[in-house]
Amino acid sequence: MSSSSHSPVVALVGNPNTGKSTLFNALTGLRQRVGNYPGVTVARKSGQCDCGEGLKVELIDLPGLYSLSAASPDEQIVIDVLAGNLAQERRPEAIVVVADATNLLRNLFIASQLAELRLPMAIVLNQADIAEKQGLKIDTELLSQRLGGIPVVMTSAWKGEGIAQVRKAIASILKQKILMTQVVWPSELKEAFGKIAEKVQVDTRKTPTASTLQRLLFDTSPNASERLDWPMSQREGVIREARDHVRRAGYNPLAAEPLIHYAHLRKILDGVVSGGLVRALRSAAVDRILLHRIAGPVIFTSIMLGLFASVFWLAKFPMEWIQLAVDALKGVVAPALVQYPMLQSLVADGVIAGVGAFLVFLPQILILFFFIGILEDSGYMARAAFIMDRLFSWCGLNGKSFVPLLSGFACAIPGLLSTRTIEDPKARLATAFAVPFMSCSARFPVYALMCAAFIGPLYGPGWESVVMVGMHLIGLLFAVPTAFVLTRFVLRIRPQPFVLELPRYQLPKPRDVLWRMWQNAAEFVSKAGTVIFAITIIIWALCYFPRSPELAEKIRSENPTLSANEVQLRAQAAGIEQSWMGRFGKTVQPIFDPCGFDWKITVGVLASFPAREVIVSTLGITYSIGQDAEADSQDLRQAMQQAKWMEGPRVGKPIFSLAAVLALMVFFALCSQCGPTIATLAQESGGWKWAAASFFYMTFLAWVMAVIVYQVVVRLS
Amino acid sequence: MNLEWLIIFFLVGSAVGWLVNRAVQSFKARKNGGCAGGCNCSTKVRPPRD
Repeated sequence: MSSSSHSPVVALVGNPNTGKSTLFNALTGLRQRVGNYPGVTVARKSGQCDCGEGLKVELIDLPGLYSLSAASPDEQIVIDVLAGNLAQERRPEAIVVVADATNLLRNLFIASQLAELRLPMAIVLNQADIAEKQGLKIDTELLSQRLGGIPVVMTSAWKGEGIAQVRKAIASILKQKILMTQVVWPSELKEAFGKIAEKVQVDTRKTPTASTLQRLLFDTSPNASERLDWPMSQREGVIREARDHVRRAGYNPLAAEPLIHYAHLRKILDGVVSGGLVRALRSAAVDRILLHRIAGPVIFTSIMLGLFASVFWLAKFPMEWIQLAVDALKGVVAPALVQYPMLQSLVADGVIAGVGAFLVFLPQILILFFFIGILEDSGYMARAAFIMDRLFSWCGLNGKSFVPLLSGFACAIPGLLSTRTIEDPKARLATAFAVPFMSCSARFPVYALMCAAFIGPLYGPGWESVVMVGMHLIGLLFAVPTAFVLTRFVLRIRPQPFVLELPRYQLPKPRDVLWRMWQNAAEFVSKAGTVIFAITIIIWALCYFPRSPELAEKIRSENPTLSANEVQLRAQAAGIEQSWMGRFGKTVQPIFDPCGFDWKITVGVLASFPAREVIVSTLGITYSIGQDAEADSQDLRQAMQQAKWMEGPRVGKPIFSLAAVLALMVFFALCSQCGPTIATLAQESGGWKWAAASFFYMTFLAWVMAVIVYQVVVRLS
Repeated sequence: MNLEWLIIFFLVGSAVGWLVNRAVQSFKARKNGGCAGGCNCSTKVRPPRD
């Protein structure tokens, strides 16, 4: 046992990112110990702080938290330490709340909750230098007076300013035992606390503290009840009755606590903070519009529409340049290999056509991530998170589900990995199930190809962005009811509160935006040069072999007037139908016939199950090898526009009708077509059961929706 | 078998071998709790396992 075990324990508490650990380091210097709290992997940092006049205290740096409604192990540790629930841990005799001086209202929320613990408290307003830069003036004396006389100290921990005053404040609260002013609860809530307290005493023979009663009434997690050993059968009815009492008084039990604390804090802070208001007010005014219940989602959708419209408009010419380069390369390489027709087909129709069809979308990827970078750096993405959270919390997902779901728009895999931040295993599973529905960037080239080839030319460029936004929303539209059913009826999860720190608005830094563009472009090009390259070779082989050498001869004898080039092209078109891929596509095509897919699209769809974007290169190969004899050299978009049904009831009609194009996009928006995602889902859910369920559910849903879309659009048009 | 067939056989075989090897390596990497790359994700997230 160290000598500090006899010195008073003081806890440092505060929101994350307030400079708490910097202050801890400044107060303790090198006299620190780092370990773990018993039974959990939450780091315990403690150190000796010399407060002058011979007073040495043991200072503990508790994990950052926004509220006492603990959900994660970190947050629960803070509550257990402060309540003295840990057997091997001495209860702190005082608390030092570290608050960000630039955002007092939000930072003092935790202090207001901690006041219920009736422990002496001091408030440290850290980052005073930033507050000063923003022109903020804080009347610490007035604040101290309104908080019941507790010390309020301004510091800039990273500069080492105000540290001596913090030491003095700690000494003073330990000596004078000064308590912070508590919130005044409305009488109806006091009655509800009373009802719960009475029953707890009867059932457990324990006297709950005011703070525990608040957790029992306001929290959806059972942590507080479990600490009291209060069985669910006994507590459920009492808590429900107390919440009904609160509801009858006009309060929402899940929202009453923050509303009452914030009302209390607004009164306290009235006249305490001055200056710097212009910026804060401007930011608040912007937020009032961007986060408005109705205007917020409308603005968000408009921004997305504008984003995709810009992507199509700006990328048009660079895409054409890349296509010209691809055609030029094909024009140089193909004649050079004329002596080797098989190798010529592999290089020109396989590798150049397949990889080229994929690489054409590089400008769109660059522009897309340029705009996403601007939105993220400016602070708007966090606002978008806030807007979307309303939707997610409605469908029963954990508030923390937003980050994995947002990541899912880039790629499902980091989205699935980031579900690990969700504490509740059931909520984690529900989120992981919803993540693959988010329209990842691998689907982008598929939508872009269809929009560029059909939607834009048919209906004008404006509709390209509408369809693009629609395809990104369709995944969400199905993820929400899926999550609702899963959380409500299968996993039975209660909704969790979500706290999101909104960053300050700022001008995006060009370097960061360009770095993001570079990273994504490098990833895209590297994929084209590796995975897509390898897959195009295999798909070419499957589309080329087996090939009868007599095929050209047969066509020539049947059509003696055809030129040698026309015979060659017809032989190629007939050859692909006889290939392994052609035979396989034709065998499976009846399954996709109700969706309006011909055998070439079917081949593309099936080849895309390992990775979605493979369809672009697959179509590039099938349409390059099997070009119509009459067609000149043309890019994939033109080839698709001219493709017609050669047999069956739709003979002579375009294969890529509006109905088929929309059905194909809907199929790709909903289908589970990514091998690594399935494997990661299996890994994160601890087995193949949920991964298999996700695969079959999404694939079946995609097929059903593609059939519905095709049949409805055909009938309407 | 002529040279053209040999080149085609070599290229197709290499592509299949490379993809299989990549799939195996990705599986191993994922088993260790990370992103194996090549999944089009721009950020390689490797959070520690609990």
